[in-house]
Amino acid sequence: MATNTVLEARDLRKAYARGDQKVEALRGVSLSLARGDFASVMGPSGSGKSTFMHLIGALDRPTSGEVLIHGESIASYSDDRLSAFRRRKLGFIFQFFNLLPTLSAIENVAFPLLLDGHPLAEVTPKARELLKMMNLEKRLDHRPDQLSGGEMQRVAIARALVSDPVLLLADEPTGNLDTKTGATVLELLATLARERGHTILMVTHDPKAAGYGNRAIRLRDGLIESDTPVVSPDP
Amino acid sequence: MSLNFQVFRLVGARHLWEKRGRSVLMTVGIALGVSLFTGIEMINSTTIKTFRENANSLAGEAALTVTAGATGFPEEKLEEVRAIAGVKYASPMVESRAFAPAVDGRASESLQVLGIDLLSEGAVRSYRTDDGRDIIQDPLVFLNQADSLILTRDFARERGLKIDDKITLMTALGARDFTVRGLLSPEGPAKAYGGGLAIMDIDGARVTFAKVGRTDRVDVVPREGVDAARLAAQIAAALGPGYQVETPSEQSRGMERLVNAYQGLLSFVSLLALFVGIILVSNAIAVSVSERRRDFGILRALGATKFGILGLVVLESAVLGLLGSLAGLFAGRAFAASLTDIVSQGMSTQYATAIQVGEVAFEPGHVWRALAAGALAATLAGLWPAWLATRVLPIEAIKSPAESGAAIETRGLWLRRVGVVMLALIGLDSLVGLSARFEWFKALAPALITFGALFSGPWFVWTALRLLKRVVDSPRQSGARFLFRLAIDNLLRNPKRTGTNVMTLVIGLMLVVIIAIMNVSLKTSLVGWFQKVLRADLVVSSPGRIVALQVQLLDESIGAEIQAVPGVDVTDGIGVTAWRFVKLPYRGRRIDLKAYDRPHPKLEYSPFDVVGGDPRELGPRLYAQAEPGVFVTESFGKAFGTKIGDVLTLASPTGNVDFRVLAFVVERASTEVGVFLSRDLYKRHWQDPLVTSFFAQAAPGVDVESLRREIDARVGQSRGVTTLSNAALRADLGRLIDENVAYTRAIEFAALIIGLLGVMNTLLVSLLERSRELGMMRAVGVSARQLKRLIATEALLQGAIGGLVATLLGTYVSYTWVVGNLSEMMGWSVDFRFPVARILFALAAGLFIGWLGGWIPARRASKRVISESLGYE
Repeated sequence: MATNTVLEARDLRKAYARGDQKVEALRGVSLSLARGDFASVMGPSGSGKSTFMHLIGALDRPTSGEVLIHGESIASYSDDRLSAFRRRKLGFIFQFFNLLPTLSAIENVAFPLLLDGHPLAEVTPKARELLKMMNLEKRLDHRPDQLSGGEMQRVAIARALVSDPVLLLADEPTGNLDTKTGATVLELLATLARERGHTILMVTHDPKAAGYGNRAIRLRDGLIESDTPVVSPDP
Repeated sequence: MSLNFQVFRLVGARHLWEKRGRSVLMTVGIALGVSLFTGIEMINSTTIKTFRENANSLAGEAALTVTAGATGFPEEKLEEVRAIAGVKYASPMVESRAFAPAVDGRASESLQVLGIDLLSEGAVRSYRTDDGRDIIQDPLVFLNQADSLILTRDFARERGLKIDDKITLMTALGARDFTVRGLLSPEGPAKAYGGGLAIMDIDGARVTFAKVGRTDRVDVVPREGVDAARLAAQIAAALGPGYQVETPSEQSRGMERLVNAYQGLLSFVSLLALFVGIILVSNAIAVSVSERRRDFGILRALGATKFGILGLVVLESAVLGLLGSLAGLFAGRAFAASLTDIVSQGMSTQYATAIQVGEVAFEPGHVWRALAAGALAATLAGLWPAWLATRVLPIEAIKSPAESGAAIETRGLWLRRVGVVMLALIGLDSLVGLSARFEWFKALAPALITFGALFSGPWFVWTALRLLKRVVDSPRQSGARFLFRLAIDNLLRNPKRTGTNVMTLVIGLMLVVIIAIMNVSLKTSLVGWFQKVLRADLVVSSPGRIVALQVQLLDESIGAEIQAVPGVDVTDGIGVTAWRFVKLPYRGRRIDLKAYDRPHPKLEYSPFDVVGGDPRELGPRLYAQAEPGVFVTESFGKAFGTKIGDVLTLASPTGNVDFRVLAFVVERASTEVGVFLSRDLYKRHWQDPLVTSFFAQAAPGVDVESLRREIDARVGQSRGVTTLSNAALRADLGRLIDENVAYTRAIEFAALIIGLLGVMNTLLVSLLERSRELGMMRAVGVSARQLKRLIATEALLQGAIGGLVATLLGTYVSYTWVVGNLSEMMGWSVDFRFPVARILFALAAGLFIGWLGGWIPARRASKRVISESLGYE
């Protein structure tokens, strides 16, 4: 594996039991992402894209296959080790933002580091800096119910970045936003990848959203149908 | 995630604050259990403290006290004690109870009158009057007039008495007037008996209270350097059998054992309430966890460990537990304060002496034990939901809010079986007496009952619903019946969820049913038994409450005066008869001794409820001169392994006396073991002519009520006695029992409230879980009103089934427990009774709670925007 490789998925398979039947959501998916890649995973409903995201994000375990992140295989990790892995190496951006409702914006951003035992006073400056980067310096003490959808998603992005993750995972990050706000968020992600070298894996059903990345991976029926570079990162 | 304080503060503490209503609910649940547990502990320790203070206050400088049971001993024994080398001082005392009659709106009160020997008392105790005088130093105050009495300052102030005022007291010989010669300040002996104390000269007391030639106690001060324990042995050896020589702490220790036994029933109920509180809180926390599934999913996705989640929920529970404990501590104190009169009365009856439990006070031990109990209970309550929270997968964070919703986690089949086994163990206990054999099982019983019901209850709910469905199912149903069937179907579709909803109500109602059955069974057993054994037309005693034995002892000569009243029946030379109740030490316990005159022929020896025999045949043997015989209670036989035909040796002031055991009798008036014998025999050996009360029969053709009034007029005024008819006596008994169990009503009420809040909570969350399903129903055309009716019907059904299951489980537990352990605790067999009216009330309460609990959720569900329910923005 090249030293620039951030993510490597090897023959990932996942099967679920649905009553008496066995459903194969993933039937052997292999790919790798390099540093600075902004890859979109697309496909119709039931193609396995969400399942693929769950496996990469250590939110679920594959039936077989391996996931290596920065050369680290997480297959045999215990639950506690996976939790620590998610905390320190991954950053999640969810469709429904998933901010903790009782925390302010700055507290939400700082939260992954607080989980790791860092004092709030120590991590607050970094959280503030990230929110400033997201143009949210006037929203530091606002709670999620006081923020717009776009603002919430930007807080979520800041949170995803706070622990300097090796890989950002975005699950339909614009699915709950209007077109203009969504475009802002996508541009932000593209900038993170292009200028700061963050590696991003995004699940989306929107080809225009995929256009912000540099790579489009299409899944169908649990297999990779195509994996093509995106010629122009700007739509 | 390490469980660090800031994570708890930001997530856990804030959640508790945001959901203040639910936090209050859970706090109240814990407070309920803790208040009962703590209240009973407080009343126990206050009672014991009262005894210790009494014993120490009265003991003064004395290291040892010589007694001979409640009957006293010949006064000559004093010289035998003084003759022992190690004795420096020995001071005699006569202790009697007298009643100050009701006056100016004040109820009659009992006073403990101490007759003291002025010449020797000063070496043992000192009494300070309000004006600072030591009364012993001024004996002329006492010796000049035989009616001199010194009262405590507090008692005198409450009655508006001053020095030289007159006060009438009811004594063994009737009403007597006394003159107040001094007022004691509340120190030393004046603190005993809660200030209900009076002192007079010992010789005057002997005459007034018919104890001429007798002494009740001698207090001993040893010489310097003499070992008290060795001296006690010397004194006991010199006096012979029938005498106890104890230190003040030994005296109070005996009382402590009595207190603990008496409080057994209260302790059981409090433990049951604590477990009910734990279960209700556990359910509430589980509901809270299910509502926060998404939040826990987010935490897991962000990297929180399972242990961190567990710790978060457990810590939330512990915080609520601490808050509940604080609330329970204060509520427990109020509860204990409300029980002091009942406990005082009960203790006085059990110990046949005036006991006034002091003011309930906070002690450090109460505080930390309450906090520990509440925090521990809440932590235990939180363990199960905390474990459920750790099972939330990080994937929950990916789901939409509508998809994630809430999913009330429930228990599997194996837990149902565990529940059945737990309930079966309770049944086995009643058959083979596990609680009697193993003390730990007795402590475990409340947990088995509550958790057994909790785990197995859902199966009963499911079965009831299935049966109901068969009844209402019909191909041609329409309208309301269809709605009803749809409601049943909805509940059946997720039996686990339904079971969980209902169990909160079932646990609370089950406690109500158990308490109702227990109280009615006790009352019916007692009243029914009294009806059987107490058949005398009239009972004559001093003022007070004869059913609680809160009466002044009377001289037996009053019986002749009563018999002389026209209309009193005398048959075969037997007219008015008497009985004496006294406590005696026997093999380390204080047993009841009841000495009866031969009963009036009309009564056919009914006071003796002989086991497996006819009292008319066995009763006369008690009065046979040839060989002294006794009856013993069944509990006596069990406690000491005594069989019919055995010889029983009792220590009396005249020496050891052997009695042949003639029969076992049922005795329900006391929880202590007892011996019955003839009063002639008793008088001969214990030389005690005092009686507890008299019985009289109306002559043929004489109206009982008229005779009662006649006795009152002729004897009541002069002798200060009261006469009660049999009906009035039984009515008072019923009232006494009701007073003693009145506190359980508070428990029932609290259980109903907690059940209601719990049901409302679980119904709300279960509706959250079904929001997509309900949205779909609205989308296809169900009106808001129809939806509201459907949800209300589901809630009513759950309430009705909850009430039914609670009744079944509560009845089973009550039957096995009432028959088994309550009988064991009381020392006599309790007859199981099913209180139809109270159970119907429990069923109605279930219906009402179901309806009320579903009202708010039904309204909310019907008002929800359809698109929100379906999960669209």
